[in-house]
Amino acid sequence: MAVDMGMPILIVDDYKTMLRIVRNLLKQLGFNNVDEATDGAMALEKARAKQYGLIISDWNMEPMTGYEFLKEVRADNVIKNTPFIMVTAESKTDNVIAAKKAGVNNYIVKPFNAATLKTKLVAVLGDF
Amino acid sequence: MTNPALPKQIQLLVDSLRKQDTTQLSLTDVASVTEVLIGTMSVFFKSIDTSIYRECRSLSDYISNARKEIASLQPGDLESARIPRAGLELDAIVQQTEEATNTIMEAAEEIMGLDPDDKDNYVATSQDAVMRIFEACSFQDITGQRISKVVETLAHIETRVMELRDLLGVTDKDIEEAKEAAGPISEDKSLLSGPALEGEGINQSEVDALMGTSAAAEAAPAPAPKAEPKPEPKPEPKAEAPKAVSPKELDNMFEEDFDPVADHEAKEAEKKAEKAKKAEEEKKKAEKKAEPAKEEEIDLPEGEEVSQDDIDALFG
Repeated sequence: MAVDMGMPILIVDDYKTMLRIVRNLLKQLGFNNVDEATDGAMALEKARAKQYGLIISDWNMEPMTGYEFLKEVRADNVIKNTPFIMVTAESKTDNVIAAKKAGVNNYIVKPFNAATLKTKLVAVLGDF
Repeated sequence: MTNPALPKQIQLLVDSLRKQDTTQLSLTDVASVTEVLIGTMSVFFKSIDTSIYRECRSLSDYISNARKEIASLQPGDLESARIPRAGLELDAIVQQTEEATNTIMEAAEEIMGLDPDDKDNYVATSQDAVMRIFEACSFQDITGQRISKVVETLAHIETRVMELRDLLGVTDKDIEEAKEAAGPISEDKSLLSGPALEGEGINQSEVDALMGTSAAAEAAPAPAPKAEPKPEPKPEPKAEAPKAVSPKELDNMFEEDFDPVADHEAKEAEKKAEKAKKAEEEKKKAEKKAEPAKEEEIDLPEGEEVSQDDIDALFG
């Protein structure tokens, strides 16, 4: 099935610079409908208010981390199937395993490049 | 200190009084016993007073010395100058890197938005933007200098804290007790360790292997996550694998029943079991040749953390 390039995507990071980078990379890949949140709590509120085709979230944020946000998403019957990619500097095996167990669809280690992001998007959404 | 002869004298008097008819005790007898008792108790209390005084004096000297030595560590300098300065330097680093990044990104966005058909404008604007990118990159030199100052302050604090620890005689046992008193760390906090240094953590390929994805496998979209959390699979005994993922392992990952998390956990469990077995064997060996082992030179940094590999290498 073709990927809807107009689908809303939620990007979550406490660094506005990082949000800007991800937004620009997504724009380059053809995704222009992008919303932002700066922590897990704000992201959860947005995710419950609007149906997103994809969530791309950082891990290390306050007050709610990306990991807690992921668990909240997967525990919510309405939004539990939203594809979720973790983009984080947390690169220990325990982190990857914890995220996978919590239901993350893919995991990108920072710093990353456009090619890695595209590969992960294709893996989660299908070819575009 | 009590006079050892005094209790004997008292005992003699008491014995003498017992032998006598108590109805005929004279006032002189009672007075003499009382005199001896007063003498004994006086010496006893005097000795207590002296020992308490000595203890208090010793404690007072200890506190006085500790105050002098703590003062020599110049905590005021740390509190009023070094730590606030380090904080300001770090704030400045964050601010400068953010400004530089924004400048670079603005320039890049400007180039991206140019119309390539308008050649003159494209060349002029892009050259101007590229110059701004170069200028913005000068932040690296300044932040480098700032970071050096912060590192110097941290080293200073570390030295002072170590001196204080030695001064107060804090032992490893005290530290362990303090750790235990602090209580366990929550799962979420224990997973927050921040960016890894060179040689720490795992790279994207290893992450992909754990996620059960790879460049080839990613040709197909990942299935939607299941609502219910997956039950913990039982680890299956498998041959130990190196940290890097081999092509064979990658092939195995494409098998339908392959679960990378279970695979990783199985390997970890196997590693632990092997280490425990090896440690047991080494312990037995060490017990057999306890004396020669003591004479061997131990090539490990004293007081620093050592890895299991270092320990294993030490035991040959």
